[in-house]
Amino acid sequence: MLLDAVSLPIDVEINQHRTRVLGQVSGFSSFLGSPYVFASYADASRYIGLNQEDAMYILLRLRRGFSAQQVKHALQARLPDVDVWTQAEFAKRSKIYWVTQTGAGGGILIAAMLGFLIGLMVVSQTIYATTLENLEEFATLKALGATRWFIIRVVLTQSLVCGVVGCALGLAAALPLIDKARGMIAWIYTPWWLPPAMFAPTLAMCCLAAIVSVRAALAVEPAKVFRA
Amino acid sequence: MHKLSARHASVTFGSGPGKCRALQDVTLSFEPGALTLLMGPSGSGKTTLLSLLGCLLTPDSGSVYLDGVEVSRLDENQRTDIRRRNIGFIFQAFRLFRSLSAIENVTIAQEISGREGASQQCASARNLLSYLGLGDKLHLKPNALSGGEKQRVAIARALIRDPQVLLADEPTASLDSETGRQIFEILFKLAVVEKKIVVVVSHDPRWEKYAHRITHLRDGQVLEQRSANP
Repeated sequence: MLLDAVSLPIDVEINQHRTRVLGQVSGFSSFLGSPYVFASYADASRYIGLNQEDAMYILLRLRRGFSAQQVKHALQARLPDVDVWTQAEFAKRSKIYWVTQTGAGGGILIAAMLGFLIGLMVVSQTIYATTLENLEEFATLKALGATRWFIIRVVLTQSLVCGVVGCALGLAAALPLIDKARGMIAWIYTPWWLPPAMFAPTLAMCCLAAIVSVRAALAVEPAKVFRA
Repeated sequence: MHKLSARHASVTFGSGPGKCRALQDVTLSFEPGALTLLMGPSGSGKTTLLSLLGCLLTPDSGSVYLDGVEVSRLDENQRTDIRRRNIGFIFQAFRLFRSLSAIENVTIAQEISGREGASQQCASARNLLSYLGLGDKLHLKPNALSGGEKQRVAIARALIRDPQVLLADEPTASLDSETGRQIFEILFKLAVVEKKIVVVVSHDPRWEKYAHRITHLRDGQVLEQRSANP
């Protein structure tokens, strides 16, 4: 239901039951983006065609002054065949369900790993090409008496500069897209520390990507400097 | 007093039918305060000898001594250390770092040595480049310098660590006569005034007048050695 463009209240039909939408909430939607309808328990059962005894779960709001834990224990004692969860427990179970049972978690993890591997290949190829292009300069450094560590430092610095610039450009492109997506899917959550934290795996990736180039730079013969 | 010498040194490249004996039983000695000119046709072993003297290569047989130490027996790290402390190189193709300015091309040699702080390095490099007539070109990149200026930057880079030995491979090959003469005068002064061991490879007989000793090589062997009065 797209209610953005219409004025409320409005009469609508849900599963062939006529009803009236009196208001809407924002910043709340399901994982897959399908709409939630908040209704009385009786109406909700009617809309989805269930008997009142067939409810999958019931959401309770406690009056002020009542402890969630105490109410939970009291309900659990009275309804031993029913699971009773607090908000935090329900959230945790939901997260575990989506991450481990639906494939969504695995999908995101694989996408992240693919992103890492593709980044690794791109940075690795870029640095390797730069190193091969400058092999004579590495030979000159070695002829001048540069230690192995000095050569490694030069290649690593090139790799890290490449990674930091790439990361900054990537974030500059991704942040507006995340903002845009958040407008459509309200549950998208990006903590403030996530973009800067991306630098850590990026720098680790750059160090890994530099390994092949370091080997090439270290293997060059310093005597090459005399070949015009 | 420092002294550089090769004794019965031989170097072979490749193996089997393609095997090439670049140097055969070469024995030479180089004294401080003298400029030695190594001459000979292409393939005579001049550059191989320079690589050997510069600890860039090790002989298959024979030995190389610097200051009484048999450097040809040292491992790669020790030879790197010898190059860093004792040897300055000047190349035909200059071998300057394209992305660095003239002064940075010089300070990188100090950075490799790790001897001085950054400000001290800059001051020494500035003084040396100014002495070589490049005081107004400190911040130019190599592609903005002429051939002679590039070679003077390369000389500054070789000298900044005050090495006892200077090895130059065809340092004037890419330069016009006048610039070549200036470069040889600088090398000559370094030998005579600074008492450095200067070994220069060149095809060009015009530079014989700057040499204290001239060594001719052919087919990897010393053909002739003679003293000169520059």
